Amino acid sequence: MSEQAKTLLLMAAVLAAVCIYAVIPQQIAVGEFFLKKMSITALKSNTKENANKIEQNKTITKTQRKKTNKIKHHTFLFIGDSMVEGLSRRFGDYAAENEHKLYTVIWYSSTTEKWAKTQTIEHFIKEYKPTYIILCLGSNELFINDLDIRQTYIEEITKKLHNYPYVWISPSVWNGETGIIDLIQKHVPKGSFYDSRPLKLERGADHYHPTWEASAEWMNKVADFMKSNKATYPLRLKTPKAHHKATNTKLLQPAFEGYKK
Amino acid sequence: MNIDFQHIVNSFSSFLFQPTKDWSFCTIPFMASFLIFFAIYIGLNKHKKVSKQAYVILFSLFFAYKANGALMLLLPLTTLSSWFFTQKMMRLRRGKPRKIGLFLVLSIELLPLLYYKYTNFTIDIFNSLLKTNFSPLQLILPVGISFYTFQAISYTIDVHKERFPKSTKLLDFTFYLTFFPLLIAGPITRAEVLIPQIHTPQTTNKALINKGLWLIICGLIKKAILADYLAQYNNWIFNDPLAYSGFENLMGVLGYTLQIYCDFAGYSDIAIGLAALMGYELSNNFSFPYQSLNLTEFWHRWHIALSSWFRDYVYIPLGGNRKGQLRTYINSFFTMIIAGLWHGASGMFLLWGILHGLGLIAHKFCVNIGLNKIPNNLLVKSTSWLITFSYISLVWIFFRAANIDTAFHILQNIANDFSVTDFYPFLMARPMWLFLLFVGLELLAIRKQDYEWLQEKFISSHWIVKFIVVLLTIQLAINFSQDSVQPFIYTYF
Repeated sequence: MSEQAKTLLLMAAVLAAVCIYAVIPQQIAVGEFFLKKMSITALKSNTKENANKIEQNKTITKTQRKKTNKIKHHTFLFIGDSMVEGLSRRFGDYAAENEHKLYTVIWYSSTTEKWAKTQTIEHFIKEYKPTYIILCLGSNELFINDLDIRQTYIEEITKKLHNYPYVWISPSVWNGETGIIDLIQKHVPKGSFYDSRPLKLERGADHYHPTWEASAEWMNKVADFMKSNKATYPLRLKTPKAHHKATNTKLLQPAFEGYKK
Repeated sequence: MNIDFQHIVNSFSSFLFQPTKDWSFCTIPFMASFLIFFAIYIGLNKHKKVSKQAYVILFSLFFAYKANGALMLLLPLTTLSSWFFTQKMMRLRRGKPRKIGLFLVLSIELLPLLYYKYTNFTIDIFNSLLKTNFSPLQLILPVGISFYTFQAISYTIDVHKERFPKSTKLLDFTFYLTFFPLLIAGPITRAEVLIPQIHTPQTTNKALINKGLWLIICGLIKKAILADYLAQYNNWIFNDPLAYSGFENLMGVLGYTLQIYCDFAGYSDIAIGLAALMGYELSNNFSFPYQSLNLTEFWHRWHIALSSWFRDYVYIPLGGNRKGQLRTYINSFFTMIIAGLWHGASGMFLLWGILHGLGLIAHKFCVNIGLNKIPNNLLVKSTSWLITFSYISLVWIFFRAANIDTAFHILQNIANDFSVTDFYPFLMARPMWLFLLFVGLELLAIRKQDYEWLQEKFISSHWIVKFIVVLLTIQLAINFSQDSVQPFIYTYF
């Protein structure tokens, strides 16, 4: 066999190994070091089944929409990663001003994986009985490359939220991303997804989290969306005139493993 | 199992006909396409040379289309016009008529580059000088235009100077100018290097083919592991330097110094490696540039293809060092200004060129007044290296910064807000980044003979070892990959 043919076979074998590893469910780890999988999302387009499944999840009934409109005093459950800290601070003002109730759950460093794989959403839904859920998640997954796995987590979360009016606030990027936001957008109904990418927010000392002022601006934009006709579940939200101290906030540390069945 | 053939056909046709901005050597679609191309290429070894040549040209045009879309038409147009008019030029009488012919051919070759790259820059200058208000044109710079235009120019000049025969056939010239490993970001290869090899690729040269594989691995380590990982932090610094401390700014500058080397040298390694797999031997584009002890040496080791192009087609025609010291200084300075503007139509690239020009003048001046009489001991070498490396890193700030204010903010921050005590928190916050920076700097310091020893070891190793090394490299690249794919910096030029 010629040297060129041997080289070709070697390269083909490597590429095949990487592709096979990308599609098998197991992930190999050497101690605490995980061998990441190549993202194959870019290589495959949606199958019809997949597309139907997404559409099903995205379908919102008119009854649900009307029901949300009729409720005057909502019980909000605001959940997500550390970005919720700044956002909920401002949303607390909206809630107080509009006589809604707000429960906030901030799970620091959390990802779609943590919320999808545990019963944490179900736990807090049961505890607080919300009529509207706000979710801000994805900031800790801006630079991941296993998008195909994240897709299943996002699908799982949307399933958990399917029976509730909700808005998924996308992360606000500060230095690019690998595609998690497009993936969320693909699986969340148009009127339940707020795309934060166009926003330019001033960052705090850690360079990731927006400052309090910037977070408030961010929440104002989300609130504008939530009361507009672009939202699947439009709300009445008067702009707050004063700051109200946020209450009912639960903080979950990164080490928290989530509620199990 | 249900196979949706319609879906497969749709996906395949969309891959064939959709250009993509991410098309580059480090993407899986390219790697898969290359493997298919390479399998057929090997199969054609026994067939007529012309069919193999035509096959490579077709793949190169497909490669150009994927990177450029419809703008790829400029490539065959440049190829045809350059070959045709060079032939016409050589039919003119020697002397003035042929010189006029040369001027016209070079103008034709340069026209697309000037239009796409420098129109808006000229409009900006015009507006600021004459206080006019012409709006800039919506132009997209075709990928690789600076590289293939310079190859075409070098061919025309070499034929004009009769350093290269005028009898090159159109098919050979098309192969030369469209050869896909060189298309996006060089290295700018002379006709005398590639064209004689077209009909006799060394398809059975084991050492060359294995060296190709070795270079591809080196390129992936440099680009996909080091450059792309370092780029993230460097981008933060250069986007908003005032948000960071002096120490963090300094790390960003060091990081960029390493990033640009790894990015471009990585690209060159892969390009030369791919050509070597096909049996074509191209020259090295980098030779441990950050080990240089002065700026003149740096330019002999950095982007060798471009610097030798400027030496042969700009510096020497201007008189080089044959017309006295002052003219040597002026020629070096002018050449570096052109080199700066070649990188991009912006004042920052111009400034980068000016600073390198001044650096070269300073070095030549010091040599002329007796610098080379100083004993060449370790202390002198270390000091020379430190001065050279620091100056090169400093000048990269102007190359990377979006504007002069950003560049000065970085410099001010390093000068006024630098504290060694920031090292520990930095280490705690970004241990992997710092680790890769030191690994990268250590790799730059490797001795040439050690590198060649490693290369020889790889070439002579068993296929299983090679498989493990390639697999490990690809897996590390996946583990370290951050953004989808960072484009190669030099594809912008």
